[in-house]
Amino acid sequence: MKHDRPIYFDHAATSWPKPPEVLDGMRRFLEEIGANPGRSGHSMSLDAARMVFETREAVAELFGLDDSAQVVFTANATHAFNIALQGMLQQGSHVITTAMEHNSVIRPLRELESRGVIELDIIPCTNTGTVCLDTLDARFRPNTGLVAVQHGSNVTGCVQPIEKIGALCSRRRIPFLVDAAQTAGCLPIDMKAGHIDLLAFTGHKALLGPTGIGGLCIAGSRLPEPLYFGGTGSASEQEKHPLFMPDRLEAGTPNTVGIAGLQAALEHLRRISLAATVEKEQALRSRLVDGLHAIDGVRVYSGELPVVSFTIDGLTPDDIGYVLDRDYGIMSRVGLHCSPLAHRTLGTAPAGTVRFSMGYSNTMDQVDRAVQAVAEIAERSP
Amino acid sequence: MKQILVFESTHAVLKAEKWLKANSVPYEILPTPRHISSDCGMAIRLEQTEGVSIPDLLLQSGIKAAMHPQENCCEF
Repeated sequence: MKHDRPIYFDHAATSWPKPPEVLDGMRRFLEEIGANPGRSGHSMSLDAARMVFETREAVAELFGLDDSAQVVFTANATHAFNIALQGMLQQGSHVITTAMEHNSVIRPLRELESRGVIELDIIPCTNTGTVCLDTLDARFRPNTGLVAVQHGSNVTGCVQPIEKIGALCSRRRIPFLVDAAQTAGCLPIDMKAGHIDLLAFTGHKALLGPTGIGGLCIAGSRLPEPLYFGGTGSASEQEKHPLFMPDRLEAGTPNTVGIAGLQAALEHLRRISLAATVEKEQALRSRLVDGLHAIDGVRVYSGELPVVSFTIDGLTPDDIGYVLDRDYGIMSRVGLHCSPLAHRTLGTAPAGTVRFSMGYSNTMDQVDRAVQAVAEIAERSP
Repeated sequence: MKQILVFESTHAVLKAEKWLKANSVPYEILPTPRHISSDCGMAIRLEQTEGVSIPDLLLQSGIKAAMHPQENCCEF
């Protein structure tokens, strides 16, 4: 039965609703500060710069990064990947990635491959989406310049053994890039423990910030070459772009209102605690997975994150998604989820799956109603 | 005598501000005086203390700063 209020199960695309503190933080910035950070010497500009600085510090703390100057703000994770990949990879570099990656990583890599810059090696994963460490270990070459791995799948929620992969890379001094789009705010991440050199995240998913703000965190001394150039508010007398961090990889007026929203979101996360978030989301995931498994004709693809895919025998994902929305008010995402490689790995290409992705705002009652809806739709299957 | 500290980036100025606050050192942030060569448009002014080098202490915390005496700078 359709209720007045929708059941929002599309948190892996973007979280909703945002905590009221996030809206307040953005409104307060626009109403009370508003100025351009680091561009002018006046006190409002200084307050804006302080807000950006404090947010960098909070991001660094969240991911266990010692120097907050190594946090670069970007528009989203895709932007961060492009800075990392185009800035780090040199002519002739061999790159290893996995058959579970999102197009945000695969497409820049394929572009670099088609330009003749890199040799791309996509390692297979198990049919549940996990990287095999021995397979990875066997692919290293003398010219391997980077390993890029998605921390948590946006299709199944399966989580890769990041620390073990990082240790393999670290032993060979090969930069390790981690896609934390789905895991930042969902799982603890420590760049040191994971031997992570480059971590790309977005602010608008599990971190609960607004869209349009993400970042690239860089550990170690090897820095990407700048992807774009322009005004930074520093070294103004020079016509060449400065090479010190974070200005090296940022140019133009930043998304200050987005950063203010991210700052409020990080404060919210600190207040409610990541541990409590993980506990709640794990309970939701378990209940959903158990409920879906109990329905005849439903195949479930799940892992550790509150992101669960399923199919119903005899029905297409797009039909299921349409009925879930029209008859039950449930917002899901159907199809390939920008991850055709992952669906090929899981055996769910080309039609894809229906994905339920949950977040802090969902309830057990919503999970039960969604399971009931899937059961009713499955009963109607020819 | 007062001294002016200049930095390569706004980030470094604010990192220095955090250190100064944590160590209860009074300071002001002001636009970098025109004749001082600096990468960054903001500078920090503070009172020089006998036998204490704030730039050295900042450097121990990974913050690079160059020091200029106040007399060559702004009059306000």
